[in-house]
Amino acid sequence: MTTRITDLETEHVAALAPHAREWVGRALSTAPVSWRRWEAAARECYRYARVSWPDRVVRTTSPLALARALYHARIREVPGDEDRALVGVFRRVTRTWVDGLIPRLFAPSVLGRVQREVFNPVETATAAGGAVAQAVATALHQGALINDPADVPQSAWATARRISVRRHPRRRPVPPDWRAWTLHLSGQWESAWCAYVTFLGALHGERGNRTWRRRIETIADAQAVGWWWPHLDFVAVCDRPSVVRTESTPDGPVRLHCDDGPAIVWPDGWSLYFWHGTLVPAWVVQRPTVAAIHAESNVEVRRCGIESLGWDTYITSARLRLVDRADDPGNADCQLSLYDLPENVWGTASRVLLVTNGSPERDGTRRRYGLPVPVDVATAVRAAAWTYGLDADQYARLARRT
Amino acid sequence: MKTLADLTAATGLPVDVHLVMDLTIPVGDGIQAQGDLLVVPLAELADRVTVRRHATWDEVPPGGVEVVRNEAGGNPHTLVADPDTCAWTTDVDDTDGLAVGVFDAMAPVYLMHREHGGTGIAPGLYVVRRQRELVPPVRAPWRPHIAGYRDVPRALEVVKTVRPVWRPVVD
Repeated sequence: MTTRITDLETEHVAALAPHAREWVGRALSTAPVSWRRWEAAARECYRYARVSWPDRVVRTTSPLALARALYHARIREVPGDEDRALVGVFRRVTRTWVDGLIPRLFAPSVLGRVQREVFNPVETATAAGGAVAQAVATALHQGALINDPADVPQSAWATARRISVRRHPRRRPVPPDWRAWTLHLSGQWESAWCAYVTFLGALHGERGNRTWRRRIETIADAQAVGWWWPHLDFVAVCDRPSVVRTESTPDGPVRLHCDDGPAIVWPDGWSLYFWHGTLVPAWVVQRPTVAAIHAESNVEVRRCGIESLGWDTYITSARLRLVDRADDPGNADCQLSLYDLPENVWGTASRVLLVTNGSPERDGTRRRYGLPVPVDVATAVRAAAWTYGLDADQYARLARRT
Repeated sequence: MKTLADLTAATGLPVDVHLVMDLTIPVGDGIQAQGDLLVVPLAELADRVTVRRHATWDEVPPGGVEVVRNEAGGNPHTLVADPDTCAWTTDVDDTDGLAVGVFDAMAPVYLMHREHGGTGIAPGLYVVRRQRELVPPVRAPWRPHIAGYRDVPRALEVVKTVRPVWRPVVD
């Protein structure tokens, strides 16, 4: 009978943050996949599920190519009622099995702490995994094959040839009820749970039996790829991206962002654009315009578009109504301007305060930026005070701004 | 009275080259702003900001303490003081949730930033607060709708066949 761990030693507490950082690095890694190691781990997963290893391993270059290949190969699986797809079994013998065992070995306080300091940062960093799935869904259901980047159709067709003999090139958009591609394991995008259980496994040390720790190591190795799609007759697996660009947030965890190009690029050329962690169409990063912002139906993409274009450019081009203008206390010769922001642009009725930076940029100009404020602030000075949580008369006494 | 050049020499923190290095940094005891940080005497916000009873106060070292680290541009704000003149704590409660920390200065201290230069603060008890903006509620992330998985795919289910039992015809 193994003892239950109820407390974290000092050295373990100190190891939490480095472990989280290491796993964030692994989750967003672009290093080439070690295929031998992955295949050994995948074989072990099949053994845990008590299914014989299908000798066909089909490698592809990106999640979109994988989804298209499954469609070409006429894989008709219905999530919730799978016929030969094995993802449900795999989740049962790996994640559910380990999750059932952990509460018996660790006290809830320990689990809560490890979750807060290891799982949550890695989960924030891999929040893009959902965006990747969303992008695949959009590309499949709304884009015809000809809109995909250069190598994706070729890669998809080559993969489909290896998956199945019954294949048929489909050039129309995929019907919305075909969801077999969702029966994948997300690999590196699910690293948060792997980070959590590998830390607990290391915490457990050498005491007790090793079966569950060996299973955790196997899962961690098997998830060190992009998406993979297990089936009774084949395993389809896709590569990790070749480029991932991130930024660090003020609160700590990293998120995907690139302001002059795509944030994720796969080896076949399929690329996704992100703005401060939100998936956006390419125009937000490359060529934001007021017309495109107003034509966009998704409110989060609109906000990213405005930030990318710049508030001062947007306010003058969209000709927002000026509510109030006042001199900026503490900032000589600069003004605070308060504008009305229409509801259909920002999602809710609000106002925006245009402020000027206190110190000049390298070229001598002073940057102007916009801060959205609630709709019930009446004057510019009160809006500026709201952003700092002060009263208007306190902010009016601001001595100096740099 | 220090200039930006004195501060960068004393602490080794880099500052952008286009900022003026030779002017004396004015030292004030009122409300001052540096970028998106605000330094306010604690007495002004006594009804909103409180220091917790058993707060840990750390001495500000000569190299400075990073008040806010890792802004989106990557440059932190650093509080710089002569040795043994300033104490800093982050164990602070704020009803608006904007306070970063409180510092108690016994001599003039300086808040430095790479792009904004330096701000001089007279002795006293001050709270450092961040700026906020209105962000409409975040929507739940998109998930492909899956009604759960089967535990065992249909192809692997063991189907129990009942063998017909043959029995003699009864006349």
